[in-house]
Amino acid sequence: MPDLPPPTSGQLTTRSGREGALQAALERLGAGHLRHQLDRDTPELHVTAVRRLPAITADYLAFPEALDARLCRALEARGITQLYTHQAASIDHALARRNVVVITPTASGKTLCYNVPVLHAVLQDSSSRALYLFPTKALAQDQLAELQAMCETLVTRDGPEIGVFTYDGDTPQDARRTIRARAHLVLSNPDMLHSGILPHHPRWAKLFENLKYVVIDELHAYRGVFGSHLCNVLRRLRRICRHYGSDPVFLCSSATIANPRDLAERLTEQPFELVEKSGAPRGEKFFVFVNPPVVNHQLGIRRSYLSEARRIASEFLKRNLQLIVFAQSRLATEILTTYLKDDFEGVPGAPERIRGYRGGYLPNRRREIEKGLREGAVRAVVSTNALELGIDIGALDVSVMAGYPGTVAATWQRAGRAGRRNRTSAAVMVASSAPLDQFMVRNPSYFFDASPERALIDPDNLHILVDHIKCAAFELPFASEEQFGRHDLQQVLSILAEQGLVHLAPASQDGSPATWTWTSESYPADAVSLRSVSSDNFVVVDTTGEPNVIGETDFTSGPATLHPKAIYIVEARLFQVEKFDFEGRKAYVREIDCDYYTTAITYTRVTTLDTFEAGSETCVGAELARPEARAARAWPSHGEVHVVSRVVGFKKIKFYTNENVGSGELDLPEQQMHTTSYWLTIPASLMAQLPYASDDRRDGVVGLAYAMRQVAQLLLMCDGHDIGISIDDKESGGVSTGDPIAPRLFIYDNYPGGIGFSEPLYRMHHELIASTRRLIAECTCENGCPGCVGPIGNTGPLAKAAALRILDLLLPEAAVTGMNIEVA
Amino acid sequence: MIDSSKLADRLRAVVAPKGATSDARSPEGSASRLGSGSSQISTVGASSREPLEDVLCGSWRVHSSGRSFVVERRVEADAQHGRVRVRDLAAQLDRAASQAPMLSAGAPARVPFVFIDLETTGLSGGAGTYAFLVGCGSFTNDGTFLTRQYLMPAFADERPMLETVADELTRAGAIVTFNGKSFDAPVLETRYLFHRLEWAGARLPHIDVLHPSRRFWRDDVSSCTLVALERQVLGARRTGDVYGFEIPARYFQFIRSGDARPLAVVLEHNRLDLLSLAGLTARLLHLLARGPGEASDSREAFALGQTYARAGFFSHAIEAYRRAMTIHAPSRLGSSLQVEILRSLALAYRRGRRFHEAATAWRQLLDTPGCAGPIAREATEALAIHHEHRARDLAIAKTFALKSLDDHARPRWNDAVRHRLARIERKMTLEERTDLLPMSAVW
Repeated sequence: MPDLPPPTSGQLTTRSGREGALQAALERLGAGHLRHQLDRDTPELHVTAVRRLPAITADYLAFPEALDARLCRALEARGITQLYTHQAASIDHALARRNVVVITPTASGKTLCYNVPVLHAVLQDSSSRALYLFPTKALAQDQLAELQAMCETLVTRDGPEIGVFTYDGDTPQDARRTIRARAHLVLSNPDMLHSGILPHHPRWAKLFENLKYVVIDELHAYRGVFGSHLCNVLRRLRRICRHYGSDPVFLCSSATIANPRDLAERLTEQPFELVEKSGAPRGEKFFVFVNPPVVNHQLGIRRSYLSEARRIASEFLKRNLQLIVFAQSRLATEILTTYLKDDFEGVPGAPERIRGYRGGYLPNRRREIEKGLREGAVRAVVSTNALELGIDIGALDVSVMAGYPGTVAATWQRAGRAGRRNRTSAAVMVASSAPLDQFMVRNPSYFFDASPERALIDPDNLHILVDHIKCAAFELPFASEEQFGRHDLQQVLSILAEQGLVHLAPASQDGSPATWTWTSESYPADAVSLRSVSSDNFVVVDTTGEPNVIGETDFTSGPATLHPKAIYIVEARLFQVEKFDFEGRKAYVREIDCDYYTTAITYTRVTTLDTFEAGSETCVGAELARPEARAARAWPSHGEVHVVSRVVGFKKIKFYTNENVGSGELDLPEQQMHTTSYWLTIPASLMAQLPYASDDRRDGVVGLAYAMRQVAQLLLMCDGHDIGISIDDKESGGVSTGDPIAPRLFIYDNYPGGIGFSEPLYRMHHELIASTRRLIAECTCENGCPGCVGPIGNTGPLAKAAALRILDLLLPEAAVTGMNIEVA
Repeated sequence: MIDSSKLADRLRAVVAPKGATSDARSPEGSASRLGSGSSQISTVGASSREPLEDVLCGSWRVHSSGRSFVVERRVEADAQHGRVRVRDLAAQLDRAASQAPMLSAGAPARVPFVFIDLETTGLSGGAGTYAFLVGCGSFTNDGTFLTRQYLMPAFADERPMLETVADELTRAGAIVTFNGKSFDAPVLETRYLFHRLEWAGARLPHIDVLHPSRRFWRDDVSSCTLVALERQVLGARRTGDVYGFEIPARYFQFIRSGDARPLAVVLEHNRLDLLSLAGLTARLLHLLARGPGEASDSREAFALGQTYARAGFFSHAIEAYRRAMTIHAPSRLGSSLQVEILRSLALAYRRGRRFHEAATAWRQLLDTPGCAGPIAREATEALAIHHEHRARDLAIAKTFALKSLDDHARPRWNDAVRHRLARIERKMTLEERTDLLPMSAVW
């Protein structure tokens, strides 16, 4: 494709064909005012920001001299005559046996960064082996084709035969022995390494003896629970490597996050080099923020962001531009797919041009959709974050985000699914009425200028750590002086010994050291799922015809999505849950025709078990000296809590109008967990100072919690379901005494054992309060809206005022200093 | 960082959550479970630390990498195992050994056979599943059954144990197991690989008696256990046997306490397994050597035929199938077994190029009640082919071809049948014409 003429700055240039269509669609979004708005934020308007990201030209370097000549020739034969600077830098580090993490935007040739050193090592010494880990099987399949093509080119140029194989749950049993014997490069995923490779390491002796490189692609995907598990899997991997006498170098690639080096070092417990400046060229891109117009000013109700996303997607679809629409939830994905199919799908039976895509679809359906996108037959795909990772779906024209993706990093990642090299592309973010969305859409510079978030993991979560210590003991007896993780391994092992899981054999006379050996019949890896703290899930069985499994849901969200009478949606087909078998972990559904969907009402109660830290100096600052201030001071704390939650009912919501058209009560079992939490105790004396009735005070606390949750999510770089919120005002259970009470507001890690959010949140307490105040104070609604303290129907008429008053009392000086949000 | 006593409490909550029943793996748990079992061994005793040699009547052997513990036992030639004398088992094996390749997928299995049975710490395989007892059995020249059981007295003793077992296998002509292809061999292979040793079994022919046993005696996988077979085939009964699921717990208890008494019954169980394995092998080889005349029922005769057919001995197979049809009156022979036998018989005739008899068998098959679906289609197709190409009776061929059209079959099947029909019809027209023409016109 020829290079496009350089765009004149500050103006949308007119171009023919696809470019013209793209521009016309963009103009339609802003009703013709777009060009005046470029780089001038207008928070009060429908389009709040338009940014043009200019095209960037490539920065090249020659192949490193040390590189095997056969490899250079093969690269040249495939049209690669020089390297982008970031590729050259990564390869240099790798060849010098330094661990490296490279940050790469989409389509910048990251695979070369690790494939080149790996193939070089095999060419230099054919016994060399490498292990690639991808977060999903699909990504490994994607890479397999590319690597095999490269190896074929090598063979035709007198190179040796290089075996490249995927090894995952789909690999047939009878092929596994061959792969173990013949694979130089094993493409797998952390789950398979955990349950299928490490426990069988004697059969993989050749791999572990000769392991030169471990490639970890999409490093940023390993945060939270998954990252905490991966860290432990890598501890096990390095332990097995030590046993076989190898010491592999780690080559990692990551999307842009704030702490890639830190994440790589925490995951592998090794020092890392960072390569962050990309030398790849980039096409011009327009980034547009859209805030659906307010339709009821008093209630602060905006037009539905899903309808707005639908309208915007239609503008692009009408002009035959190919697009991806990202929705925030599985439900939103299905709703948007339904809308777009209604608008654009042809006669029944014709090839489907609009597709939905999300986790829980079966693999074949997903492969079919990916292929349709690459070949252009599918014109639009509505997806959850499932397509955020680097699955090859070709270069799309436009990425529409229905709702703020929750993090700066994910937003850039999703925007990156549109546009390659020399083509102009567009990304449109449509804000929902959620506070976080409203904050971002009204403060575009926060997004465009801010650093992305940090990825947090807690590999020493006891639930996770203990599970992996069991797996490690199964794989190789522990020596009595060995370390594994941050806690005292010997103590962990002695507790496992109490349960008969391991046995300590004392040191023998002939000098062999004391060792802990696995003494159980079980295969511990089977009981550990890396994607959750517990491996439980629910399957969805369609009983419309022959019983047929059509999806699955993890254990925690099972009751909320699969309760009796819930509407379960798969690619715009509606199913109703007829029977929810909690014990058997199954939901039986039947296809129905209806015009509503359901959302669950969950009741949650939190009790504290152990306070790790409370109201420390770091949080409160100098003015603790004033006793009267101290009395009114809110105490932030963090520690261990017990969370009980129960789905108590559901609402029926009509499609399109979002009217509440009915509800129902449910009697489902409680789900319980121990986890960690941040909490804020608002002193009774402070509550007493509020010039409101007790119901209104309570509304204030509820509104405050609503807003704080959003800000916490922003500060923690986590998904909405990673944290939960609960208020304990001690009156809910008992009789009101009329005395002032000290409500506590919990923001807890929504995983058993906690996943490392609570302590950082405690450290960010000041920012949390200040930003929450700013979110509420800057909202233009009168008495509260979904964008600040929650819709007025859920809280009370004085919620906004009361919440603000509480915050003012919490931060007497904050109103003066006008504190800004800072990202760690 | 959490302080140590707090950590212990939190760990206990993680490892053994409230409500979870005390695990049978715990020392107390396993003791109580063993107490309720069939074992006579008391686990509460004063002198639990009696030397291993005395408790299990074994001895230590010194090997280059350490010492290993072996329990050697003999079953005298004159002893009975169920209905058979041990001497006769030895003799049957000896005489029929040349049939062994039929049971080892053609690999050159020869005497001496070493019978192998493992007792393991679990069934899942992988690096943490240990074979704590490797039982090896063989016959001596005088017809005595000799077992050598290699025990791993501590995890550190695994390597010398494996090396001693490798020595034992150096003289073997084949290894014989029950389900060993799927279980014992992979487990042992992993153990040898773990210690970077060569697994001797990889280069030896391997007879896995489980699969022929299913063919000969029991269809149903779950009931095809060694204990069920020894009762049915050999007429042997066990008393005081240990349950398989108890075995790992007994070993773990021994490892923790040093008291080897819970293991005595495990060694006995393993020894009986080896003897019955030898007995079943002898019976199989004896049947193969003596032919269908020795078969005690239709099922045995039929299985014999299948084994012969698989090895390419079609005339033997035919003889066995015919015998299977006549041992019992057809009424006593289940119709599904009858269908299977007739189908196999027809196929064996065809493979032996006895086409006429094959056609008779296919016809008989079609007349058998219970012959339906794919098998009936196969029979009619075979008959259509036979009459088209061999018997050259196009009218009959056409009748059978029409019969083999089936609405329930896959479209491709019916397409093939229609293709055949069209060809037969073409030939029929051609035949009519040639009837009218002088021969010279055809040439």
